[in-house]
Amino acid sequence: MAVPSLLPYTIVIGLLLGIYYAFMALGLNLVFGVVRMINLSHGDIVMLGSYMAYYFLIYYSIKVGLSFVIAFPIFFLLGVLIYFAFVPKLESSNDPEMNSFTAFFGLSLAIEAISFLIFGNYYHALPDNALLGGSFVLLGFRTPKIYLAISALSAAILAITYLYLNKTMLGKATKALMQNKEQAISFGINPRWVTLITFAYGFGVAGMAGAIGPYILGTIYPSMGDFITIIAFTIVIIGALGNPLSTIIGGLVFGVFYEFLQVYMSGLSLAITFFALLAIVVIRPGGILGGVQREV
Amino acid sequence: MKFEKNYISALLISIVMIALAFGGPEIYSNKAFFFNLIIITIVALGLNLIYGLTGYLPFGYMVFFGMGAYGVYIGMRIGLAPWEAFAFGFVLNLIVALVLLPLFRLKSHYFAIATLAAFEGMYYLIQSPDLSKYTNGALGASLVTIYNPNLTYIISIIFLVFVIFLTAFIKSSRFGLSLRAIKDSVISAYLDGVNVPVTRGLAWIISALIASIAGTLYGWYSSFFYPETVFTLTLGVYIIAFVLFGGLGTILGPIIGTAILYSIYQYFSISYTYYVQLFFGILLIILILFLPGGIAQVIRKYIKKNMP
Repeated sequence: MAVPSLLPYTIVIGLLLGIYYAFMALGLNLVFGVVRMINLSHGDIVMLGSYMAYYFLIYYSIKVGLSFVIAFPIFFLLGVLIYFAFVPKLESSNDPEMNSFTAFFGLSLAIEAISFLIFGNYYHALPDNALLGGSFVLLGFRTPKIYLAISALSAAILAITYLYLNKTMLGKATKALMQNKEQAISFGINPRWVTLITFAYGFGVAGMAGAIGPYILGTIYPSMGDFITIIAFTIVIIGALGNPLSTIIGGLVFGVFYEFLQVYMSGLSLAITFFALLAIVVIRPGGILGGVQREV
Repeated sequence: MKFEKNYISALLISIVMIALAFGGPEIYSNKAFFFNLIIITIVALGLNLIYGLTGYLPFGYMVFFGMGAYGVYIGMRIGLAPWEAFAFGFVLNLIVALVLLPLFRLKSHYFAIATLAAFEGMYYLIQSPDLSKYTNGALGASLVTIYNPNLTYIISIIFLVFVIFLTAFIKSSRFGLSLRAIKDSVISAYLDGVNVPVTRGLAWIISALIASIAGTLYGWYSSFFYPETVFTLTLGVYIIAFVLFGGLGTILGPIIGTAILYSIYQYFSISYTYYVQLFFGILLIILILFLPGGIAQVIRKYIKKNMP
C-alpha cells in the first residue's frame, strides 16, 4: 500500500481551514473599515461566542448550529453598546487611531478578567457530534467531517456578506464610506448610521465565528482571545486593511501557510507567523493587497 | 528657567527614591518588592521617553525587557565570561532596536501593532524547543553562577537615578525640544530644520536600552526566570497605565503612577488576579477616554482653579 503524500493534504486542509480563518477575521476588518480603529477586543468577542455555544449546549441542549445563528443578534447588540461607549469619544480625541488601540486593549483586559471571574479558570471543548460527527477519508488521511461543516458555514456567511456589500443599498453605502469618507458624505450617505450598522455587524459575525470556533481554534478558555486577535490581524493585513473581501484571500493564504508551518516546523510556527506579520506591516502597512500608507 | 526646574525636580525625586530604596526594606522587610518597584519605575521612565515625548506607543515594549534578561543568559550559555555576557546582551538589544527602526515610517497605530508582533515573535522564538540549545526553551533560564543580590540592588538604584537625570536632561535639551516639535507636527518640525529620523531614532534606541538594562538587572537579581516572566505583555500594558495615570511626558508622573499602581498590583495580584486585571482594563479605558493627562491633569486643573 502506498503511503499517502502529506503535501497535497496539507494544502487542502489549509484551504478548508482558511475559509474559516477568513470568516473569523472578517469582523475585525469591517470594524476597521468604518471607524479606522483596530478592535483589539476582537478575539475576546470570539471567545464569548465560544462560551455562549458551550453553555447553550450544556444547559439548554441547544446544538451548535442553532447557537451559530442566535449568536448574530446577541453580538450585534453588544456591538451597538460598545459603539456608543467608545467610538464617539475616541473620534473626538487628539489621536483616534492610537488612543482606540489602547482603549480597546483595556476593553480586552476587562472582558477577559470578567470571563475568568464568571466562567472560571477551566478548559472546555465542544463535542464534534454537537455539530457534525464522523470522519471521512481525504487524500488518504482520515479527516473529521466537522472541517467540512465549518468551512460550509463560514463560506455561507462570507457569501452573505459579499451580497450585502455589493447588492444592497446599505452595503454599497458602507463600501463607499470605507473607500472615501468625505466623498461618501457629500453624496448624502449618513455616516453615523452606516458606521453603527457595520460596526455592530462586525461584532455579530465575530460572535458567530466564536460559536463554531472551538473546533478549529482549540479549547475554550478565557484568555484564548489575545491569540485570536493577533492572528485575525495577521489575516486582515495579508489581505488589505479596510477592504472586507480581501480578507478571504488573507484567510486562505494564512490557512495554508500556518498548516505548513505546523506540519513541517511546528516548534517555530508561531515565531515565524509573528515575524511575517512584522515584515508585512513594515513593508506594506495597508496590507499586501492594499495601498501603501506611510507617514514621514 | 525651565532648565533648572527639571534638574531640581530630578534631584529631589532621586533623593526620595534613594531614601525609599534603602529605608523601605527596614520598615516593610520584603526587599524583592522594592527591587521590583525600582525596576518597573525604570521601565516606566523608558516608556515615558518614547511615548510621552514622541507620541509613538510601542505596545510590545517589554520585548526589550525580555531580551535584556535573555541576552545575558544566552551570552553565558555560549560560554562567555560574565562581563562579556553583559556586553553581549547589550549589543544584542542594540541590534534589535536598530532592526526595528524602520517601524517609525509607520503611522502610530501600525507602529503599535508592529512592536506587538515583534514582542510575540521574540517570545515564541525564545521559548521554542528548536532553540533550546541557546535559550533552554520554556524550561527557564538560570543565572545562579553570577547571583549577587546586594550588588544588583545597588546598581539598580544607581541606574534609576541615572534614568531620572537622563529624562530631565532630555526634557530640557535641544534634543527634547526637537522631539516635542516632531510630536506636534512632523512636517513643521522638518521645515524648521529638525532631523526627524535621527532624532526619533535616537529616542527609540535610548528608550529600548533602558528597558533592556532593566531586564538584565531583573534577570540577574532573580537569577532564575521563565520566558513568560520576562516577556510579559500584561505587565507591559499595566506599565502603560502607570505612565498614563501619573501623567505622560513628565518626570514625576510615571514615578508616582508606578509607585501607586504597582503597589496595588503587587499587593492584590496573587489573591485577586482577575479583579486586578479588570481594574487595570477599566482604568486604561477611563484614562484614554476621559483623562488623557492622568492625575497630573487633575492636579493642574485644581491648582488653576484655586490659585488664581
